[in-house]
Amino acid sequence: MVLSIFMWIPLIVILIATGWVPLRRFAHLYPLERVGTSFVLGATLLPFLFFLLRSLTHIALFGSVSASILMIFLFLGSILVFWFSKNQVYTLFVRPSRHHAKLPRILWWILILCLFIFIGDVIYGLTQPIFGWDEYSFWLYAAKIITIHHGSTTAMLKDAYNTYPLGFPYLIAISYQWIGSISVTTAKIVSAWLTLFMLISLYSLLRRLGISSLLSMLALTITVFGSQIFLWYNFLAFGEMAYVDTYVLGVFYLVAYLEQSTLADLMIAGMLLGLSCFLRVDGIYIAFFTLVLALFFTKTKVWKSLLTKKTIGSFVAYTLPPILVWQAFLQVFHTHGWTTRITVREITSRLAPHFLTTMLFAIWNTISNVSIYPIMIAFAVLLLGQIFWRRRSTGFLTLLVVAQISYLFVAYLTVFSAFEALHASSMDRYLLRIDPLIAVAFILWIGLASPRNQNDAK
Amino acid sequence: MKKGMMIALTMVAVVWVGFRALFSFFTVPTLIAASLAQSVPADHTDATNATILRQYLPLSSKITVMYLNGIDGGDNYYRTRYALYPLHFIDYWSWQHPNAGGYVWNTPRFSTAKSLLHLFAKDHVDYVIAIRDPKMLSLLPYSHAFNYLFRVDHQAVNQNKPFADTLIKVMSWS
Repeated sequence: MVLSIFMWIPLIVILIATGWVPLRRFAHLYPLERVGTSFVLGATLLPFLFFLLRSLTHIALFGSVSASILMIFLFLGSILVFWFSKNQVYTLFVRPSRHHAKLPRILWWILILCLFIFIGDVIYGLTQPIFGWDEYSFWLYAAKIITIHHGSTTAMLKDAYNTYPLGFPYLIAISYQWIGSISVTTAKIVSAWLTLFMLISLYSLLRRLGISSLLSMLALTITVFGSQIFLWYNFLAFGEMAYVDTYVLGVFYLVAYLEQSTLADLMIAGMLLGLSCFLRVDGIYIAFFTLVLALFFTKTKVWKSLLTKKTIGSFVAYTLPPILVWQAFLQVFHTHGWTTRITVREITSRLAPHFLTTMLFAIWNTISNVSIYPIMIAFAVLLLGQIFWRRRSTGFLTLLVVAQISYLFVAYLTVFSAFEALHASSMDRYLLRIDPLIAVAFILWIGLASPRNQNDAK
Repeated sequence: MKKGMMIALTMVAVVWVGFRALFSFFTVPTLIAASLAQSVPADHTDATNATILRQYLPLSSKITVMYLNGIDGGDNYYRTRYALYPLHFIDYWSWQHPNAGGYVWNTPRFSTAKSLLHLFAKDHVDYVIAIRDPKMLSLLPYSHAFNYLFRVDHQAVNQNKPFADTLIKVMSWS
């Protein structure tokens, strides 16, 4: 067990370095934020680059010899990346600045307790059986096939799930190569690492936005414990958490962009949202309405800086490659992506009052289950609070949560089978992505309500 | 001093990583064996089933298997298919035949011996794994037990022999 943890370290170094490269030019990031975001970014960017390389060259990336050589080169490359970013690496170890003030003792204890709960939860989870069939029908199965077929991008084309993006299976396949075996345990740990680094990044990002260390820590606590299933999904070898971690971090950078009007944050958000489309079958739709909503909340005076060739060019270059490559792949192999299989007539028949009310009740029963989603209390407070005091970032997050629930409603109505729609199947899983959004909106609403911050409000 | 230490640490790391990488020489058989041994640590039923089946089934992508289990609509099917890859399992569920959450075996193609026989011929089924499905087993010649592995006699299928004669019982376990 201890040995396997040490074996993960070089792989974590490689993933951080991969994400570090595109983030290098953004000097405004806090040190911990840079590390956390680099890992989350690298965890999808590296699989995406592997996918692209394999699609274009047909090199057997995971062949017996090539995998070893590749890993050595990647590790050497990672060390070079850090060598050339010495100054940014040193900031991790320098004396804490004004913004990284010393944490009060009680917060240290809370942090240690939370870490113990998190680690204990992951260790417990590793001994538990896999819950559903999705892991074996797609996530683990795809990872196993990709590994056995030396990183082949087309090996899954014959499968019923051939339209599912291969980001997470590729990441697991890379882990398999590194750790040395195809095992569920290896796959289970990947999500936990991602969540851990997402939380580190979130904490540091909130500090950058001027939130106190206590409230930032509270945001992490609400995120982790706001939903009963948040920790649970971290040891299920399921692609959902990889998507949630990447997507919500992208949204948090949009929040930073709305708060500080820094275009660099918009670019980072674009990268994360673009890569999230390589993790989830409907990621492209969610990324699209998230970005549109963020632009809707953009300050009028910032619009001018957005509508320049340089900004648009940079944004397109950062965001679109994963989306275009994956869509091109689907087109080349005549798979049709995630679209509805239901006829217009069937959809029309679902508009009948009985169907609609049953479906809405199923959705409501999931959302309103406070024992499973205590975070919904925070959301109710947040909704009420918006009446008295609004701010761009909290307004954006609140509306985004409403948009996500509305999107799920439309998806049940138009894409899912009648059985799934009437039972709001997997709704609990889909709600994972709004859990961190509510937590951060709630904390921002409290933390930014100071007189100084209110002057900047809408 | 700092520079020297960094170089030394880098060298140690590179040697360690190189050593580690050299041990990741994978071959397909070892990967498959490893996955079967380690993949299902806590799912005892499926691990047991897969391990027993492995003794009787040649692990080749040329072997086609039909997995008949209607109790959970697919859970055990996917677990066993995963554990026994590269055996080719016939998809009984796909986007073209959506049946999520339902009882797939209620569909007509699995409801009679004749339609099953048609599937054996069409998909060149080599083996049938029948697990815990009284309805399905009532169609098969051994209805009194739970778990069976049958080999399909394609000569008998081609000669339109009775359904029971087309299946050669290999083993049973429970």
